[in-house]
Amino acid sequence: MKSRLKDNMILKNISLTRGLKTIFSNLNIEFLCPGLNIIKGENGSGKTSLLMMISTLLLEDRGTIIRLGKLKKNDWLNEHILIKQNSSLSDELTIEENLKIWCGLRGWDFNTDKIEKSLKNFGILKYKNFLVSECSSGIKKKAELSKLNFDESFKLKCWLLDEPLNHLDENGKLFLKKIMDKFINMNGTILQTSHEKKINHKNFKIIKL
Amino acid sequence: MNINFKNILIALIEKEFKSYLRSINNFMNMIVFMIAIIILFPLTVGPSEEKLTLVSNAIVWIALIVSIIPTLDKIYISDFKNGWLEQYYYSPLLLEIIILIKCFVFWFFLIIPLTIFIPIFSILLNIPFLIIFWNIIIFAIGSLGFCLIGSICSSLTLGTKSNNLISPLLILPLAIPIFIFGNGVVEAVKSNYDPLPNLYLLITVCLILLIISPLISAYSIKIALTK
Repeated sequence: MKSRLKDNMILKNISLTRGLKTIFSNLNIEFLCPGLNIIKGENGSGKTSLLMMISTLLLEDRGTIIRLGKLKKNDWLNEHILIKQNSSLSDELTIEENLKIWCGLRGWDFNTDKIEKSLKNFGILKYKNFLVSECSSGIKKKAELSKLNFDESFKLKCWLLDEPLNHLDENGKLFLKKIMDKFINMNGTILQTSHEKKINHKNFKIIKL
Repeated sequence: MNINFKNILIALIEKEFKSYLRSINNFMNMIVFMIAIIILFPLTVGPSEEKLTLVSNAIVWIALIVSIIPTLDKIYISDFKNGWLEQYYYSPLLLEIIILIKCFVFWFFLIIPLTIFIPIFSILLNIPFLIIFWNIIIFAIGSLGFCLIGSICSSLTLGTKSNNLISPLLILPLAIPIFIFGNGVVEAVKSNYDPLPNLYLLITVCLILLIISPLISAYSIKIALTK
C-alpha cells in the first residue's frame, strides 16, 4: 500500500487526433496521486477521449503517458476501472447477471451476497432480477457504479469515471461520494469528468481542458 | 490481487449461454430459413426423382450454409455496441483465448443443434443413410471452420457501417476449401472410394483456422476498440 504514495500520473506533450479533428496538441498534465482529479471542459473538449486514452482505449499520436509509476500495459489494465458515460451492461441479461459476469471476467469472486450487498448500498437491490432493457437510465447508472463498491475495486490503483453523476439521484450522489472518499483514503487515484459546479470533496485538483 | 482464471471461464461461458438463450429467435430464424429452402427447392426442380437425387445433398448443404452465414457476422457486433468487448479487453485472460471460447460456445449452442435437422431434411429428400451419416460428421467439423472464418470477418468489419454487405463477401472465398473437401468426402462415399483423405484435409483446414482465426480476430478487435 505504501508504494502507491510514490506513484504518479503524468501526460507529457500528448497529441491526439480522431479522424480529421485534432483533440489535443502538446497537452501536459500532472495528476494528483493519490487524490481526486476533476476534469472540466466544454462539450467536445476531449474529456472522455482523455480518460479513454489513459485507459489505453485510444492511442495517443505523440507524447508519453506515465500511468502510475510506469506500470506495464497489461498490469495497468488490471489496476484500473473505467466507468463510461453510457451503460456497458448487456440488455439481454439481468442486473445481477451483468455484475456477476463482469466480476468473473476480471477474475474476481462473484458470489451472490457480494453483488447483493453492493446493489443494496446503492438502493437498487429490488431491481436485481430485472433485465437491463427494462430499467431506467438512473438504475442502469447505479448498477454500473455498483462495480466500484466491491472489495476488489478498492484494492485497485485508479478509477476513471466519465460523468458518474449523470442520471443519479441525491442518495446515489451521496453514496458515490462516500465510496470515492473511502477509495482516496486508501491511497487511490480518481480521474473524474464532471460539469458540476459544487464539489463536495476535501482534497481535489481541477484540470481544465 | 488474486485473479481466478476459472472464474473468467465460467463467467464467459455463462454470459454467452444466457445471451443465446434469451435471443433464441435468431436460432428460430435460421431454422425457418432452412425449412423454406428445403421445401421450395424441390418445388422449383419439379417432380422428377432422378433430378432430385442428383441435387438433394447440395440442397441440404446450401440450406445449412445460407442460414448460418447471416449469423456469422454478428458474433461480436452486439458485444461491441454494449461495451462487453472492452470488458474482454480488460480481462486478465488473453483476448485470443476469450475469442476461441466465444467461437466454441457459438458453435456449440447455435450451430451444433442444427445438425439434428440434417437427418430429418435428408429423409425428406430421400438421401441414403450412409450419406446422412457422413453429412453430419462433415457439417459438425466444417461448421467449426465456418465459425472461425465468421469470427475473422465479424471482427474485421466491426468499425464499418455497412458490415452486412462486406461480411458475406469475405466469408465465401475463405469458406471454399471447406466446401471442396466437405463435398469431396460425400463424392468419395458415393463412388465407393476412401473418404478419409478428404476428411483429413477438412480437419487440417479447421486446425489451421483454429490457430490463425483468434490471432487475426484479436488484432482486429483491438484496432476497432482503440481507433
